[in-house]
Amino acid sequence: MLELQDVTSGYGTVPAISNINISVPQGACVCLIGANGAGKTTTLLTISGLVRAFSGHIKIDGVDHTTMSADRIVRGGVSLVPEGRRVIASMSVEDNLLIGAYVRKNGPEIANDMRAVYNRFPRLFERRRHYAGSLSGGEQQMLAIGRALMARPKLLLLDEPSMGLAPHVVREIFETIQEINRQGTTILLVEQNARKALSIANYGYVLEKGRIAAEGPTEQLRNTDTVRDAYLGMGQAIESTSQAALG
Amino acid sequence: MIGLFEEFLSSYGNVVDLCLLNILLAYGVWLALSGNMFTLGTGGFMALGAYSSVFFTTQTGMPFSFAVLIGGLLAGGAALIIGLPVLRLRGDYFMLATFAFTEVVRVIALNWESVTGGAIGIVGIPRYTETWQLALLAIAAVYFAYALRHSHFGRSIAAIRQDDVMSQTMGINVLAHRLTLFGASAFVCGIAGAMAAHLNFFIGPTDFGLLRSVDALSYPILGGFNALLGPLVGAIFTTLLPEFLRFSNQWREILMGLLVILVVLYLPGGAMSLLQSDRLARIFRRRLIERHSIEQRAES
Repeated sequence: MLELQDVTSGYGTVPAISNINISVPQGACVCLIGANGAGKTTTLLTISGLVRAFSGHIKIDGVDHTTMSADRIVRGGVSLVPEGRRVIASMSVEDNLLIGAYVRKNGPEIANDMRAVYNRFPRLFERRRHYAGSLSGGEQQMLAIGRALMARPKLLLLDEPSMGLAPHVVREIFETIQEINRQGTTILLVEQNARKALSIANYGYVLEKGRIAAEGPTEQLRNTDTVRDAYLGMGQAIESTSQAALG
Repeated sequence: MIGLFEEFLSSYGNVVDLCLLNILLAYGVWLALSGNMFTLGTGGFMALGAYSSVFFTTQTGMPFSFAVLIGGLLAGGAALIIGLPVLRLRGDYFMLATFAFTEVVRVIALNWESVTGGAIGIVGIPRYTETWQLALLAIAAVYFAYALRHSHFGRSIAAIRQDDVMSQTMGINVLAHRLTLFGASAFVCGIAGAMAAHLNFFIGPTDFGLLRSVDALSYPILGGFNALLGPLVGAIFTTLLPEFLRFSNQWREILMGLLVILVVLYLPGGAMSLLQSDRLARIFRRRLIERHSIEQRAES
């Protein structure tokens, strides 16, 4: 469904990712893990047209999206849930959801989808008249995801949905992501919480300093040394660094 | 009763007209502000509307209403043309670019003597503008602002104002929205300029400079940008204040400046936030609680 071919992208003249190849098949849940500054967010921003690729091609269902404007990409069925739960604080929960359906015109269908979001997140229904800014962190993340779903995306891009949330909230969010995927939406998930991400995705990419360092089906990826050492925190590297610190 | 009203209009008619005109202008600027555009182009757009409408009414004998409409359309068109490059600029740079536009219009007005009369301006413009027309336009502006706030488009621009990157991720074409708003704002300012020209008998290049733009910007900000009637209150307040301060000519400007500073310091949401927020209620409640506790202490 989504193909990134030799994509180089970044800010100004400085590339943040270079010659990246990523492929997300229809219906899959693919994760992209890596440390701070590895280029995960840049990859998502480039796919959604908010940052322009220097070179390479981005194709969605075979259609070239590389130079398409951000709003047309959303119309093409790709929605991004940006990092840091950016909800419209001064608007009600319901208005936030309505604006998520901005690209759609069919009123009854929108109302239907709104009900579906409320069913998925009953907390949002309870607070539908409240200002989005008054919600807790977890609720805001739910709202951000719900808002993206209101555009009825074929492909959902999620940027760090676990950031700054309590463990039980993270669990809830990840269960929801899994469920959305099961219901047919293709997902590309960017996470620092590698363990969680690998547990729900079927395929993973490891990004290091703007390049893909490893990739593979998640069961395989979990057992490679580089991933275990650097991202899951149960390999030799952690032990040796802690020993060095003690010594 | 009607006699009283007529007497009032005959002695204060000028002030009423000026208030209504500034209300129109305030909503014009409000349109731009609601898209996060701090425009200093108001003076330039007014000048375009004023000079072109005067040209059409005096030189071609065009009916007044058509001339006003054309003045507005010209200003709106100019906004669309300069908007495309200028709207890519943010904050201070956008302000500077719109200020430059106002200056360019002023300099053209100063030098294109055959049409604008140069530095002397145009004298003897027929007074076509009636108070009821201004009132109608002001009401239309308020209604338009009301309708906009409750529309799909209004929700989108509220989203853009808060976070334009996020708005793009929801498929909103940010540039197109801001361009539309900027054009609509200029259209209203152009109409206000045309009405002003046919109200005042005289127009000159200095009427539509930086000062006019800053004044217009202060109406919605002082009145309260978020409230529907904020721009209206701000426009009336700022127009009437110099009249009330007429008793002392030297102190007028100083008092005016002082009041503006006080409003900005203590009512950052504008004068309308007095009604909206529970600021007043809180002050009263504190009084009540104090009195209550004093009474209790007296009893015990």
